[in-house]
Amino acid sequence: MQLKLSKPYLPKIMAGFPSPAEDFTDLSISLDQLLVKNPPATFMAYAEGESMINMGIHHGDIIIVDRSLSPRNEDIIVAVLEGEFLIKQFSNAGDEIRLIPHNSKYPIIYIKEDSDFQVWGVVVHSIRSYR
Amino acid sequence: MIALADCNNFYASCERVFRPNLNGKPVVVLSNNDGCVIARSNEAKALGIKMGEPAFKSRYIFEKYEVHIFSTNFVLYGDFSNRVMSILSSNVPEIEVYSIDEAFLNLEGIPNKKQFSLELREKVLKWTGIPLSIGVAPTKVLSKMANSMAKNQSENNICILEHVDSINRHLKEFSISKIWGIGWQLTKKLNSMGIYNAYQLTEKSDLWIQKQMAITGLRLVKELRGEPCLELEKKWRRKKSITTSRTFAHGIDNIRDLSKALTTYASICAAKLRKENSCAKSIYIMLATDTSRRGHKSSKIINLNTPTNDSLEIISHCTEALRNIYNSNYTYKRAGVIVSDIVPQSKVQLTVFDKTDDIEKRQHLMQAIDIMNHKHGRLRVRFAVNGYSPRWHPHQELLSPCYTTRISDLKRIKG
Repeated sequence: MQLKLSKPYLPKIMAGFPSPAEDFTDLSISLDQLLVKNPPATFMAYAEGESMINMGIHHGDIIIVDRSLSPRNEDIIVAVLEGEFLIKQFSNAGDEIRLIPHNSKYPIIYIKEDSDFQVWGVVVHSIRSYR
Repeated sequence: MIALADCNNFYASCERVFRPNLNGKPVVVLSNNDGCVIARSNEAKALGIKMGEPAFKSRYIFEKYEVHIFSTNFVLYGDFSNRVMSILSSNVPEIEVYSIDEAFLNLEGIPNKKQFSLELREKVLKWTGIPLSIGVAPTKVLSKMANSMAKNQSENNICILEHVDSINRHLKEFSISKIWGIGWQLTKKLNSMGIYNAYQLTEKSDLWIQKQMAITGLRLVKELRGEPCLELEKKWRRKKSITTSRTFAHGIDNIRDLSKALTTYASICAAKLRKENSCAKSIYIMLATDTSRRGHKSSKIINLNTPTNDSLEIISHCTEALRNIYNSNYTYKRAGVIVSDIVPQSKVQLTVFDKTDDIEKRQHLMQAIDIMNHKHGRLRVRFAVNGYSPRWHPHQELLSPCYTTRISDLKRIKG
């Protein structure tokens, strides 16, 4: 992952007064630092389909997944169910684990004890492009 | 105490991270050209598929048991390696990255080694999906032995060898051929002297060992006795030589295609030299008609007056050498370029005949090529002599996507 905003362009030599901004040049913004808290455990993927649109995750969005985190109730996660990847909201309220879609057309998935289920990682951000 | 952390079936494990449907199923990774098996998941091992076995030999087993087959994807494995190594190094005071999938760790000051190893293994598995084996012992050589025992331990892949009694017990069961640093020739020699297990070696006198196995052998035996002789190599070492060689999918019987292949390998070597800020003083090119020892081989060494990392210069030497050794009666199956006598670029001394202006211009050109290729993919900007026809390219039919390094290759996951 190497997203980096370039530093603002400041010419090295200026006739007249030195730029008052010169001492502050390292205050640029790094999207890397903002979106990736733990680089060795962070992976990206494309979201597909419609089941999470009411949560703001649309088809074609890039999701950023941190595998080092353990899921808390209501986190968005990447799950592996019977060998297949899924993006859903994780719910462990009460005694049962449920995978909740955010589109009324899709059913809630109840995780049974004998299900082949695993949390692959926690979705920490999603990126959406408008043009 | 030293730990050796080694990723289990590393290439196969990398392929599985983004293919969870392959967990519990047999997976193999084939070498360049999809020729030989170079990595196997445990399930593939259980089917009796051997390391280094030509793929065509196992075709029947592959089909019968639905073995999942991949071409080597070093971009993917390299990225996972970096992730694993960075987690390991942030958890111990010192680390020596020994290869793409193993590292020695200094566990000094860590009180409960078993607990620590278990937690470290768990962390790497959770964060990256890659399972590790960890062997802990007083020396590097013993930690290597502990690791091979950890691999066979099905429950947690951790093995701690701390006490002399237990170390000796295991040394007696450890064949000398499996000791790190003892090759098959030395094994044969020692076997003929009646030495079969590691413990027998530790009982010999230093003088005897040094006579039979030289000073490096003595260090190795001392390490087996639990006396640390090999330190962790923390500093990055300049490579002694860089090799780029490939086996062709189909034999090549004309100098044009051969030249395209060879000059491409020359460009790859030169780019690797520049990446390390190094220059090479000697270039070696080789051609072979067969991958086994039997085939016809020819080679040539070129010694330069001034060490270089300039692609064009290395290419032109290679082309000339190729014309010298090419024999139109043969069909070649393999070719390679090795650059050696490597020195730091900053220490290169120019001769009176070198034109410094030209050299500087060419350095800028190389730099520009490297920047573009870094951005858009290896060999995207190439020299005309490299050609474009991928006829001689290795087969990589079963290549997985570069899930972690290429934005267009990101995994698509259903919401």
